[in-house]
Amino acid sequence: MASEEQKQKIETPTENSEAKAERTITPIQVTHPEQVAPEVIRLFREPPWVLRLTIEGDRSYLKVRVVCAAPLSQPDRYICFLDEKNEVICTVEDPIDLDAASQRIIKEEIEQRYMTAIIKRVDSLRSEFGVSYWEVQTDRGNREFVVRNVSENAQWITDRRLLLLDVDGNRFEISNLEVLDKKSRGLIEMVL
Amino acid sequence: MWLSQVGRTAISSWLGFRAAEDIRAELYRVLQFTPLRFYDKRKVGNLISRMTNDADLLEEYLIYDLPFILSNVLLLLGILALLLYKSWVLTIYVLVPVPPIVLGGALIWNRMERYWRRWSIKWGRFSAHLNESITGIRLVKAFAQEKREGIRFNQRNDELRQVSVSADRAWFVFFTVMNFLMSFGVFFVWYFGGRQILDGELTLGELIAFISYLWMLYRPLRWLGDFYNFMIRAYAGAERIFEVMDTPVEPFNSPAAKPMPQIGGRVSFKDVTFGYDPGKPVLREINLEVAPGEMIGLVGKSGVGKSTFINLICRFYDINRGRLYVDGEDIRDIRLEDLRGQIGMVHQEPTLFNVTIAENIRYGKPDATFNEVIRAAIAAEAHEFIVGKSDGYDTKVGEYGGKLSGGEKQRIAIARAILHDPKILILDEATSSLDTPTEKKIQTAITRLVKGRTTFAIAHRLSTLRNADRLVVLDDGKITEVGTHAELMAQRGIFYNLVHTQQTTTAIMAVGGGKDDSEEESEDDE
Repeated sequence: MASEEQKQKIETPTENSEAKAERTITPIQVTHPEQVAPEVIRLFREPPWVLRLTIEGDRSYLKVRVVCAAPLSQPDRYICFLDEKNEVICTVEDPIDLDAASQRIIKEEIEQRYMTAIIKRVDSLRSEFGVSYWEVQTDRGNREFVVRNVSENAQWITDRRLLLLDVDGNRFEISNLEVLDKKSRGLIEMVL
Repeated sequence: MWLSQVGRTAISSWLGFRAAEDIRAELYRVLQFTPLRFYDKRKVGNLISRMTNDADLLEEYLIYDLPFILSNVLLLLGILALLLYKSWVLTIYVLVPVPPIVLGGALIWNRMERYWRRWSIKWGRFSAHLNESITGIRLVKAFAQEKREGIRFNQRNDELRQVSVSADRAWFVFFTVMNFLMSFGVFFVWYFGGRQILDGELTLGELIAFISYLWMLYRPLRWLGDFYNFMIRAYAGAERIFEVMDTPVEPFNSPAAKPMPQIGGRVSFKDVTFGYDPGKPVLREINLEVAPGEMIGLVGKSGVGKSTFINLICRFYDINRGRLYVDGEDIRDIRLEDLRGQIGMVHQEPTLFNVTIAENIRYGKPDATFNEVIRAAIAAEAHEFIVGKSDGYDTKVGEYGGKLSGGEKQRIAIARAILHDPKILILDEATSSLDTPTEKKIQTAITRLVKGRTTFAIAHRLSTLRNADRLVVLDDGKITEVGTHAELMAQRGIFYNLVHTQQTTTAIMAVGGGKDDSEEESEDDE
């Protein structure tokens, strides 16, 4: 996927300030390649806690972040790599075009970044003064959480798919409202 | 009997809800397709109140009142028949107060209708005020006008209460008088019935039975009284709804209009004169030929008619005199859908809906793929800030794009225009009110956007129009100068003076400590 203009610009020091130039570090402005073929992208951890990206035959980036361009509607596609300044290095439409090791790293990073518990059943739900208290069963076990101002923190991704953001910023998802049991649906309809 | 009643209620409710839904749908259709001129003199909150409050009144009437009129009238006639059968003489006494009640009802109709119409109008004003003050809450807070707005709100609220009380009072008086007159009927029955008992023409049991039936008569009568009130109220609401519905809609797909699926982009003004009030022209005898792909910068003082110029190209208003052609076709003969479908706009304050960023970009081309959305965002210099948000393209932008900065909104609007791929592009102060780095990004995006499109640009920073092929200077509703930036500067006319004034203002700001980034640009102008 495309990214933007590539220029490596080194700021020229002023002629009459050699001493000043010695004191200040010349900033280096880096921009990114316009087109990157997915097959030349390599992701690796070195040291193990630092994620790096190399565009083979071109350049390498330290401290890379992996984000999803549309984590709710396209959770497995359109992966963006950001540099340490949060500038987009490049975007890959489908990670399957990358080598297996890079794919694995992308999966890990995305899972960690967008960790979402899938709600399987709602055991209890009550709403008081705009705050709703949820007791649910998720794919990660039983959870209790609180959602403040449901109209703001519940987002319908499709007609049946719902994303909830609790007061601590944790994400809970109802993948398909229709497949929930009748009691769960009834409880949800009371607050949404 | 019970089953048939349940069935009747269910059917009538279904029909009532359906009718109300149809009314709301039609009202919305009219509001969507009505010309912009309609909105110039109306408040949004007022129109919303017609869609909600007035439509609710009509819905309640259709569901809870109208379906029961037949059963109550039949019940009334049945009991009357029974009373006549029991004693026609006493029944006539019962009916003695009916003529004055009917007369009173006819007289109060106009009065109550006036009250309820006023109530609907007041409710409309109340909604308009509410809409305005909540939409402009930032301004209210910025000027610490909460108390003043509170007082204004209470005034509207009080007006609403007063008219409600007046209406209820008038109805209460009528209803009390009606009950009082009806009680005369009972009095007559007791008096004349008693005399008949004394004369041996009627037994006490027959009189008591007659009076029992008489009380049964009052239930449907009271219901009819209430029904009358609700009917007047719904009638007043319906009047306001139909006032909107009767507005002629734009001839979007008029059969007489020519389809133009592919516009080339040539725009010609021939002696065009236009005024929002036809007696006061804003633009006069405008003549201009714009070639496909040409970029025109519209220049002039505030209120000179630059935005009006653009409104005419979009055919938001029809010209009063002259002709306006697109690709040699009179704009009035082109299918509106085709014309507007190929015009893109980027405003100073872009309108975004409270949906995701991707949906906002897709607005002009709903079937665009996600790849196309990303490409448009990249071209608009928006991709980077979008993916920096926790939900990326799935981020909801908030009402009116409230969760985004001015520059972010602007770039989404540019991405939307790029994806829409219009042949004619309108930039209305698209780069004003932005900081320099953001403006540079937006300028880059705009440079990509205008390529190959006929563009009309308005910008208060004259230096930003330097890339225009020609600048058109408007003064007093007329075109006074046309030429390139350099040509107009050499002419030393209105444009030169405008540039000079802008430079002086910038210099004063710099002396006063308000030096800004535009200074550098203004210095370049000469």
